[in-house]
Amino acid sequence: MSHLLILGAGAAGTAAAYHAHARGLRVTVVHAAPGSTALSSGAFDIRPWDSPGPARALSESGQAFLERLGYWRSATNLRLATLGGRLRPAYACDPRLLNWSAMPQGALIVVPRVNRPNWDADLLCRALAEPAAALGLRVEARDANLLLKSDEVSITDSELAARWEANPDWVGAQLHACLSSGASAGGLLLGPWLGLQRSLAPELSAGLGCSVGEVVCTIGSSAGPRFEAARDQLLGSLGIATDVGWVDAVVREGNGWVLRTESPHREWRGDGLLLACGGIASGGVVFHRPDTNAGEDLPPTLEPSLRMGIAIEGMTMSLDGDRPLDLGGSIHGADIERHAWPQPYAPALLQTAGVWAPNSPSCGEHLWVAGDARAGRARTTGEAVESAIAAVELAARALTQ
Amino acid sequence: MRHEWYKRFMPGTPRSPFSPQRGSQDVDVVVIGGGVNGVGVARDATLRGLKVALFERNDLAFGASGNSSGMIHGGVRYLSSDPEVTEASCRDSGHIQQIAPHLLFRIPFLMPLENTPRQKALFPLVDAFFTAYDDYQPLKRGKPHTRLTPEELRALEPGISGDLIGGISFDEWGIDGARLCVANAIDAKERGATIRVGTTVDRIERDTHSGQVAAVRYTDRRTGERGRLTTSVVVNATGAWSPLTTSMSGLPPERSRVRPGKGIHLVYDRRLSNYAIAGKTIDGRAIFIEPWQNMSVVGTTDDDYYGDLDNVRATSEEVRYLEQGIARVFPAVRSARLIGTWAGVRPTLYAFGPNEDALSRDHRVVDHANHGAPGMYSMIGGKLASYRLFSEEMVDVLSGVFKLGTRCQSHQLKLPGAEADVNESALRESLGIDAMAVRRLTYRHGARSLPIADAMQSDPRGKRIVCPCEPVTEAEIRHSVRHELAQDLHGVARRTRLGLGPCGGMRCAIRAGQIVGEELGWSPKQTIQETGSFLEKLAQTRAVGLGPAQAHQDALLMAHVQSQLGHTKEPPA
Repeated sequence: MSHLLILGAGAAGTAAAYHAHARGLRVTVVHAAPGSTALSSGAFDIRPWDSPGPARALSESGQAFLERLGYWRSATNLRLATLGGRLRPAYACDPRLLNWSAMPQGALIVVPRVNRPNWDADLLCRALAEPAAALGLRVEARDANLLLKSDEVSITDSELAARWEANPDWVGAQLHACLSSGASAGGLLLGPWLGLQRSLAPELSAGLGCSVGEVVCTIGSSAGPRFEAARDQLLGSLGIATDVGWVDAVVREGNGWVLRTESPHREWRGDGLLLACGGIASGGVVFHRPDTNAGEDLPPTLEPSLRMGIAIEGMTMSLDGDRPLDLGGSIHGADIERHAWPQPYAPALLQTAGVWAPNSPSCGEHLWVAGDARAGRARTTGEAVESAIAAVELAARALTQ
Repeated sequence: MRHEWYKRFMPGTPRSPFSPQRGSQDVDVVVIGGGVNGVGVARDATLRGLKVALFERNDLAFGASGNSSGMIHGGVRYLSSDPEVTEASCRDSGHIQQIAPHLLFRIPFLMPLENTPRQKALFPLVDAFFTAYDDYQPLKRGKPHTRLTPEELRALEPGISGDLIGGISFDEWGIDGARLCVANAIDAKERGATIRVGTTVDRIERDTHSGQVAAVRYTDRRTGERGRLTTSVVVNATGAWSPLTTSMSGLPPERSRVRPGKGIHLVYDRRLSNYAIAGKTIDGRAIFIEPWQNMSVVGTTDDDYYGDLDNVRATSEEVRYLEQGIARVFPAVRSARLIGTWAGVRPTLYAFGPNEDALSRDHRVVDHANHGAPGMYSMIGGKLASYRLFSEEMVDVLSGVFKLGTRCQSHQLKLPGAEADVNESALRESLGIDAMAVRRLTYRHGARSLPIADAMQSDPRGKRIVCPCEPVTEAEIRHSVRHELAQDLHGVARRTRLGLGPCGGMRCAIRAGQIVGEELGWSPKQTIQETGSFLEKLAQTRAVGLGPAQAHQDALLMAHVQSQLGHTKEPPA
């Protein structure tokens, strides 16, 4: 049986492992952290939710993966609140998130005041009032006592989620006190605190008689640990070998590949390699101005400005996915400032930079690329999943010939 | 002698007597420009009893004043060419220490000299030069220079590199130029002046027969509200915008000509050295890296600028030019994390011929009575360090015109915040907030930290740290909008440094935008647009110098913004 190595276990790597297993390949996943998938914070998009364009649906395999992951649910007309004060659509989401479009007309959504950084119920209500009114809903900030210990003012969201999971009765009682201190509410909006391994949303909602759910929030929220828990469960149930390690070297050996970590020294060998190590945001790709660490006047080497986070020989990189990044006319590298910030129809170069694989996910002999690591692609979890499935299709054909 | 030719074009004394009646107009003086010279004039004129209105097109300290090297230096660069500039700068540096001690911080300088025949020959001259500078140091409580061996240099600053014959140390003072502008503006306002930020003067009306200044017409750039204010005098203190402003009165723009010189600075994420270190660029220009507040700053370039003054940006070429020069003497700058750039345009006195660095940093008051516009004055040239003196000279002219007979007090009366010393540890204890947050608060506000602390006591929400990089509390953000004329997130950032740290605004911009939006009554949609445009402009100042760490951080920031705000502007049709 051919053996496919997958580097990275975010949405792309996990989907690739799932699909490769389904296609009858032997799979080993080597990874370090979930990367950008943790930034999706439970909202699952195929095309960026804020960019104009036709709606898209997942492929059959993608849909099957989504369901098997058991973590996101598919629904129509989802509306999720963000800390930035938007009620945004999504293709699917973590069931812990509060779906505002499922609220009955005229319902009141209560936002409890919790003294934590990044949580300001009053400002959030002010920001959400207008979009909520457009759905026929009202919002109201209310006092609550949701922190049991003094350190809960500053611990991470995921740590608080773990504590809530261990103490759901106390949380339920506190939320009940909050809800009964005013007019009856149809919904209760919280930060990402409704459990890590399992969701507290169903039991709290049933106990309180109103929909309890979370807001979409990124960076340091609970999305990373939750995704990891769901992923490990899925890969474990399929019997897919998964190893954690920061890979130091990727080396070709005959027709296959070797992944190596230095300390402790470990090696993984396979017939093919699928790169799902993420883009610049995840560290899978590094933007490196050549004159960083330069000598007196000139760069020590003439390298293009992009490289893989782990050196892999013979990779061609691209800033925009439209053309390969070669040495260019400047020894000081690419002028990334010409597209410094995303525009409605054009993502910024820092979002699109990655491996040059223009027409197919193949970027070398028995080497494939998926997710944000591929130039000009992704930015959404759905894209990452679809590109992983496409890459595995190619890999399966090449490896089983 | 040196400036004689100049006076033919910009005479200093009016031909015909101009003596306006006080009280017959809405105000006595309209000052245009909210840079350091404009607010300095507004404050001094108000102190001397004149009724003043100040109009600023963008924001206080928007131009050169907020993008300078952040030094009230003694002008050692000008010692051989313009010793009077050096003396004036040193004397006024001393005055500014008297009126705003809380805003100043010492920046000791090291100037290493390379082991080349030329530098060897120069060393005694440099030593003698700084001996001459020592004469001026007492004016600004500065320490005399020291001659150092290469070993001593490296002991003081181990990051210094190169084959050196030694060097010297000298003493300068740093300041936050934007805070200085705000303090002057607030003082003028509290003493009765009208300060209008974000309001542009579209026309300066003059009497058809006498040519005398009669009124200004203005537009609030946010609301579109228009107005007219009658006045006897207009002071054009618009720096690099000066010719544009002059043309609003119907005079040709060259009547207040400047030679606009763009200067950029690089900002690093921490203090990379304890001393400022002088270096040279590839073309032999003097540059430096200085520890400045909680960062390091490299400056500066000086290039003729012909672009849009409302939208000045550093380019990656300028970034590399400065970095290359500093890396020769301080190589660590190559691997340090560049978190932003500043860009501004100096309003240097006009001269055709000399290269930018050789231009005089002196200043001059132009009386446009000589051009048929009595009551119209332009302030040309100048430096941050001598703003108070320049303002005094300007108001002396007004004092003569209005026959005031009051003396200048701007060097004796304290600026807001300098009224008393603040007991930082007591403040920290009573507030129970982070020590660093208290230190930064008292640096920016001096004794005016106390009303902000009171606001925190009465509403504990105010104690919340919104920008953890700087750090900045919610109460300070609200204070900058309510009492310091901040009109948007950029205005808050200029006053508090919110969002200017390594995270690029990722951890604070959305919440700060909601706070400012609440203060100013923005709609949710406008709040999102304002936040987006703030983040985009900051990203542009970083993109020209991105290294691996900041590129990674910026990609994270974009993912965060995409998740929370989505696109913040309408797609093109």
